[in-house]
Amino acid sequence: MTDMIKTNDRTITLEILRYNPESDEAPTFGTFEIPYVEDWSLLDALEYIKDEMDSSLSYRWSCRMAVCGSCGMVINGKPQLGCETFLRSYYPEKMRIEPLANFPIERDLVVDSSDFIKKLESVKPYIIDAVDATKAAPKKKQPEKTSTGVYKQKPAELGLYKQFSMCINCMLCYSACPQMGLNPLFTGPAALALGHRYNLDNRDQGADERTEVIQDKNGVWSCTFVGYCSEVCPKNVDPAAAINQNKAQGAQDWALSFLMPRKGDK
Amino acid sequence: MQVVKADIIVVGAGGAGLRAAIAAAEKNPNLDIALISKVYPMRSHTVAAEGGSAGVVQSHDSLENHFIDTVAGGDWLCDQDVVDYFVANSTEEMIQLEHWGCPWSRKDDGDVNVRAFGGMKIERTWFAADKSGFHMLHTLFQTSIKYPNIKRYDEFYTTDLIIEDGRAQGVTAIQINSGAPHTFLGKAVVFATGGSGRTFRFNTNGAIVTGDGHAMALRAGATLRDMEFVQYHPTGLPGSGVLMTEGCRGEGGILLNKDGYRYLQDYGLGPETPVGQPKNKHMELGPRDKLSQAFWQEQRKGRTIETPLGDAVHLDLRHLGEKKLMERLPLICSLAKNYMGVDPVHQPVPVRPAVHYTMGGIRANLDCSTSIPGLFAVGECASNGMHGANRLGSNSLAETVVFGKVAGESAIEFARHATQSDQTRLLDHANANLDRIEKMRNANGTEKASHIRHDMVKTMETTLGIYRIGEEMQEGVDKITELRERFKNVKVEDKSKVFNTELLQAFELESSLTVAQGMAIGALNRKESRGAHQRLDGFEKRDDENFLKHSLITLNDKGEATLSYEDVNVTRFQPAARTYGAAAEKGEQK
Amino acid sequence: MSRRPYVRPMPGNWFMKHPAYRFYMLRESSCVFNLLYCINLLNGLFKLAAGPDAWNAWMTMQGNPLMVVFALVTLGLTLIHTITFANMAPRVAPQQVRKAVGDMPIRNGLLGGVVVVNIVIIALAAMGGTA
Ligand SMILES: Cc1cc2nc3c(=O)[nH]c(=O)nc-3n(C[C@H](O)[C@H](O)[C@H](O)COP(=O)(O)OP(=O)(O)OC[C@H]3O[C@@H](n4cnc5c(N)ncnc54)[C@H](O)[C@@H]3O)c2cc1C
Ligand code: SF4
Repeated sequence: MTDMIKTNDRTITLEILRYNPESDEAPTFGTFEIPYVEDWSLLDALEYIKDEMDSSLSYRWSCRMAVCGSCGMVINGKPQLGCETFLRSYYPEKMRIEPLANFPIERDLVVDSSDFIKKLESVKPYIIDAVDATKAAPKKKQPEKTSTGVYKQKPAELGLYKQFSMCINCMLCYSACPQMGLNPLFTGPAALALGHRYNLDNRDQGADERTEVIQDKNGVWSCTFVGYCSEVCPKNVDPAAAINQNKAQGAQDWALSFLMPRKGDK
Repeated sequence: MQVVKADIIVVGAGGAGLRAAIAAAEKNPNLDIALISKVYPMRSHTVAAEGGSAGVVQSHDSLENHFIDTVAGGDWLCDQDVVDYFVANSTEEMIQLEHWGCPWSRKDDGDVNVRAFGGMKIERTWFAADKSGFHMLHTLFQTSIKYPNIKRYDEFYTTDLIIEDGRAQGVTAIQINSGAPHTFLGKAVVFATGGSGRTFRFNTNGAIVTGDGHAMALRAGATLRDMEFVQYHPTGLPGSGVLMTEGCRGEGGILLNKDGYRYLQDYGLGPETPVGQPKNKHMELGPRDKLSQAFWQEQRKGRTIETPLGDAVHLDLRHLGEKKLMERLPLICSLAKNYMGVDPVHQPVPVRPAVHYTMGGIRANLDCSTSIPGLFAVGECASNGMHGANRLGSNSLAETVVFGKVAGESAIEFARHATQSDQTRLLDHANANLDRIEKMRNANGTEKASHIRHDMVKTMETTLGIYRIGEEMQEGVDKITELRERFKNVKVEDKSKVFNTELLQAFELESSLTVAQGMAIGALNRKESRGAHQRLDGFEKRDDENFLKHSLITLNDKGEATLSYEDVNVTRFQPAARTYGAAAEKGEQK
Repeated sequence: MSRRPYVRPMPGNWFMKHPAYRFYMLRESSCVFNLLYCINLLNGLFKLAAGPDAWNAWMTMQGNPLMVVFALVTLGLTLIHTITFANMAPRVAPQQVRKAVGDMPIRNGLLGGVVVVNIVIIALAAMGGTA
């Protein structure tokens, strides 16, 4: 890393929100002036700080290629991935880096994501096939199998849920969502999009089992369609669409339930 | 100290670890499985795999073909019984993933699609666009949620094994968010801790790929095998090392030198195939080691392209057209744009070889057992002998699930018969391990770990590159020894508990240095050229007489690494010349 | 336990803190103005029923510069709401429909519908005026 620095004396200033629970009452900004290297991503810059200036700086990162979802941060007010943010987009202005909003800060740029993981788990994000489905009898028919034994899924059927399966769990959308801040119980964009992904899969029979969470008041009905979640999503998942499609569906089901109450429903 | 009791402990929640946990949970729903990972499971580096996963499906293909490609690709250093098991079971695992919801790319009739891959004679690589590993990992993670007896310990850093009565019976770990030491006790331990590519400077691996499992196992008395075989992927982005998948070439991408010439035809991979009509095992679809070596030769001849980030060649995808690129290689397009400022639709992408995969690992048998009873190893951290001297692209994702399942079931089987040793003795062991954590946290020497790491990765790059020379490798061995000495005098400045990443990086560096030493010793003493290990100092040929052998690294009583060898299991496919392109076709006609 | 996760308070004026939130509030505020305008119209209706004097007084009030500004603001916000609504509509449509039809047709169809309905109303009003 260090040896990649070409000799010139241009620098860029990074203001980073620092918080060490063992010594700080509350988070405060720390300022670092570092060499400006044109190809550096923010992760390269943070690595430089950690290796050369302040080894106590804490942040998460791994793949460097925008697919592991570790390095979400708020950069100059906008939730972004550190690996996809380049110094050259800001230089010579300074950069202000904060941990993701709407999450408790564990330390420095690291937030506590355990609640997010619980929410992901709550939508039953796995194929529930006809055998597993415990509630109402399956509404869809299980797709045919090919001679190799895989379920048939036409490109259009794959296309139906594909975008919602692209989520890297980076939590940028949670940071972007003001409702998340107002109601921490909100299941949130990514988790609801994941539930929707499975509901739309022609191999899945579990929609009924996910309804409880998805249609809950802390489910899609906590969303007011601010829409910023979809704007910051680095993978074009469009979680706002997932949520609002479910609202439309939920409203329709609710209206229909008066017209033709189904047997066995509560 | 907090003590967690489980029946089986799985360390690592990448493709291999998750598959192992699921297999164990399915086999016995009454046993407790502790799944430990230093990152949340979906951050594991399996997520970065782009190209796909191999499994024979086409009617004109056969298991025998896959077997032959794998063994020849591995330059005959493969254990053929293991390869046989692998090819016979990989398709079933791909289908299993499909049933769990993996969004494999499809043909118009709804069947799965397969693509061509380097060194594979017939298309058999299942893919999910260019995010195959991402989709496999998320599918496995999400499916694992279904099993109540898999209890996850996310963001727990494992530091050491607990060995008692000669058996692996637990591990010690740091809960990262609190710094609290934990002891996990169980009847069997599965290691699925991934590779160790981060020992090199320029690589396609994530920050977490530091060889922790290798080092823990070695310290506990296990054997590392074939560590000298390190695969360079021919097409990484200069600077970052971010990977341009082999799928690029599978779809028809070509490699050009600075004169716009398809140089691979000069290195036994020709004759030139028409642009846009890739031919299996020819030209750009040759195996990785040969392609990376060709780059090195071109560079020597001054025919590579100079870029501010170092020499490169061009990966040209323009003729595939925007529509196909967007459908098949969307990630590649955005990575090239973001990290190189190049749009593959309109411009060729500069690429160069980067360290990608480590063929070696913890020596494991067909049932994933290791030389320590109760310890099982699987995935990139293991060497079960299937990859030999060079792994074929798309064989390792398949390996994670084929052998992940085996490891999970073997561990269950082992746990069924095993009894736990006396708990006080186990906890004594644990305490000794935990002392090591405190000692590291309080390390007050004068060396900066980050600087030792910089020196290590540079040393590995310059002395154990694509081509190797005895003198340089000796220098590598000496330098790594010196760095290990320096590490003893390391200073960990951050003494805090919560999310102390400096402490974790120190542990990771310690692991990487252990692995690096094994690599350097193995390489120096392998006096031949085979697969990914190519020498230029009088050992340019493969030497089956002396080196059709796995190298083994163990620690002696004094804790020094010692080297020995063992035979390769050659069941039916005798070593022959390893040829590609027209030469291979000629060979087949004979 | 050394953990002490820090929860940042949500500022009371969070909706002023970010351009995306400000725009959201602007969009949503259209409903306040629409409500007020509806009350105004309803009032007009009562006045109409109450006789020509009351109606004329109401009509004069509509000409008051403040009322004109109010009407213009309401119109502007309603337009913003209409356009953002149309932009968001494809994302509320069932995924099957969205994939089959595409975003632009849904959006343009809605906007087109709004234009047609408005033309019809204006035409009717004009005809009513002349008749
Ligand atoms: C960029 C890239 C592209 C690739 N593309 C392909 C491809 O197209 N086809 C193919 O077949 N192969 C590909 N590979 C190789 C393949 O992805 C890997 O070999 C495979 O995913 C490894 O899986 P794994 O489960 O063994 O390890 P990983 O997925 O790396 O997981 C390791 C796990 O161990 C855990 N761990 C490690 N150390 C510790 C510790 N100390 N304490 C606790 N937990 C720990 C980690 O948290 C993680 O969960 C690619 C590799 C790379 C880098
Ligand atoms: S939906 Fe998008 S922003 Fe939200 S977690 Fe997933 S990838 Fe990140």
